[in-house]
Amino acid sequence: MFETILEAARAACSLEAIVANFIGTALGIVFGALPGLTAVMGVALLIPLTFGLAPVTAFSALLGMFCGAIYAGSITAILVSTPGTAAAAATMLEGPKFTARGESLKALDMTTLGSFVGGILSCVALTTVAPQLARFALDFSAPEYFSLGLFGLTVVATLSEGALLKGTIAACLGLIIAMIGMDPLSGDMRMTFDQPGLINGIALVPALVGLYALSQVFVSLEQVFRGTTLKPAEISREGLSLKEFWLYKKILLLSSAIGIFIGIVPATGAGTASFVAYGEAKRMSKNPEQFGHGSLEGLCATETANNAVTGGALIPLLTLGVPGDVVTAVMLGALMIQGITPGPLLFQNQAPLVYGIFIALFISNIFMVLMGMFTVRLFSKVVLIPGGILLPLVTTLCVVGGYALNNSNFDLGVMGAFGVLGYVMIKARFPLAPLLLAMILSGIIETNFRRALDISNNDFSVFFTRPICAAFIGISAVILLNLLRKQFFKKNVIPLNN
Amino acid sequence: MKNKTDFFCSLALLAACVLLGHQIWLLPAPASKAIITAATFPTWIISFMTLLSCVLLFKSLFGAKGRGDWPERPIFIPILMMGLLILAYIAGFILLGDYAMQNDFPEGTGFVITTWLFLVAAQYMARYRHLVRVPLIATAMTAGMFTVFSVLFKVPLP
Repeated sequence: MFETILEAARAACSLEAIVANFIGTALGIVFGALPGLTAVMGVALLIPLTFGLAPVTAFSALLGMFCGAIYAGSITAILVSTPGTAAAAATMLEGPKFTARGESLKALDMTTLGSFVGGILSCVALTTVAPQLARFALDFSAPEYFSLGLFGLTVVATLSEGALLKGTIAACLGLIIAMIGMDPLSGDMRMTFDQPGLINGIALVPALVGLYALSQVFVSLEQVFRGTTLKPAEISREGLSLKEFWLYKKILLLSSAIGIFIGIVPATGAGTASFVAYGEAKRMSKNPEQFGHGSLEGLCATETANNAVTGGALIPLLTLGVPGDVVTAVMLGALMIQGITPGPLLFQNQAPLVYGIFIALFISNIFMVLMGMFTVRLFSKVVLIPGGILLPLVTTLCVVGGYALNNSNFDLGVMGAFGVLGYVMIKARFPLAPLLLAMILSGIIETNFRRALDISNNDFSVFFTRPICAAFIGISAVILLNLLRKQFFKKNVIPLNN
Repeated sequence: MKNKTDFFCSLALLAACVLLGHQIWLLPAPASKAIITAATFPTWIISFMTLLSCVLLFKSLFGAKGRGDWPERPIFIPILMMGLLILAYIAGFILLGDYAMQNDFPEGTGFVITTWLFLVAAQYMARYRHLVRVPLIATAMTAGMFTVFSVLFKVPLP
């Protein structure tokens, strides 16, 4: 065990990995801070650049991007009242109030330190929970994986609350797109329209670069053509003292726990975590009336929870091969490109890689807090970059990224088609997350369902007699019935947030 | 019609269901006697999607009014033009790249020419129109990307 950790540390602390981590975190902060560029887009665009690197080095860059972007979305939310990413939407409840009363540095410091604490605690959870869960999941076979995939798909439906019909259609579309190509069990060609490029199916990375990066370029162009520009606010001089920060230790722990838990639940994300943590902090607060008027407690809750998701979301990805949120769904693509199959066997067969990823996440959080504390004034200026320069650059990265993976012109077409599909879906109010997550879960659900029936001689009771499998199916059924009840009675309908 | 966007989306989805369903129908019958074959799952999903598309169609005709989040025409037209420019860039990337490869031009010739032209045109279209800075920025970006992808990461650019 000690040798494994030593080997992992050597890989994660090599000069190449440290530089990749540093660049990833810095780029992540830029992507997070710029409205219109998101964490998913950053990770998606980084994958084609990293696939030639050693796996731990590649993941150092990707995790740096993930942590940096989730954290930095709050910078613009606080300074210019525009969240850089969806994860920072809850920051809007408190952040801009600090800038309005000339205490922006205090809010930025709380964001940085809260994100750091959340990130580090999530690393600890990842390091301790993931190996145990992987050991437990070693007993999983086809029926359990099928039920887990089904559970993930049900959670996708909860993401679509308020747009259940369109979310379900998007999920169906994702499932069907993932089935294009050669059937893994029988070898039949499904829905290929006799196109040789479709034999191996739709490549995931070009599809998600189009879906999450190119489509976002079109959306951001609207702001450019409207002439919307952001002006960075002046950052105040007085920051947050450590003594003041320590006052919020209970909120830090609670919000971290909420973030980690929500991260672990498949298909949820940082945006959900920060709203839940904010609500809990308000409920527990002695001064709930201050919430919404620039409360450090509220800000502490949202910022800690959204970065606590980072480690939590990696737990189901690494142990079960089921992504915890959209960013980790994109990372699943990166793992596949590296020839790595996530799941419990990964901990047995490639333990140094897994521990290398854990250590890389710790390092990303350290870079994040250092950059946040010392260069926040510099990063707050990125909003000055004109969209007219930035968006053509991102488009070029999409095109080269779509091509670079397999040097395939067909993939380039896939990227373009998914870019248009993504834009149309956004404009027609179809959520994108169910499409992507269904594309990922499709293989897990179908293959394991068929394998389970093969093993059990076509006996469907196999899904109800195995306790874990039955539990997942039961929970999925309860979630689904609850959703349908809410939809029917139109109670507590929350608008969908992509 | 209460919601044009949903109406056309549901029609497009129904058309996709017909096309995909036809593809599944063409699959050969399985040799084994397995209950669940390569066609089963896609058939279930396509059937369910058809049902949902019909519900969407019905709602678009008789449900609440709506129009999606489409931008107004003066904004949408430049976006459409930018979309066409991106399409031209992708086509140029493929065609010029293939031409450069077939004629033994130095590696990356097609990429450099199309990317530079695209960056200049895209900046101009995105209303960044500084006569000196635009070509300079395009040159710097093209050179930067060529260095990162081709030199550092050994991606064989066309």
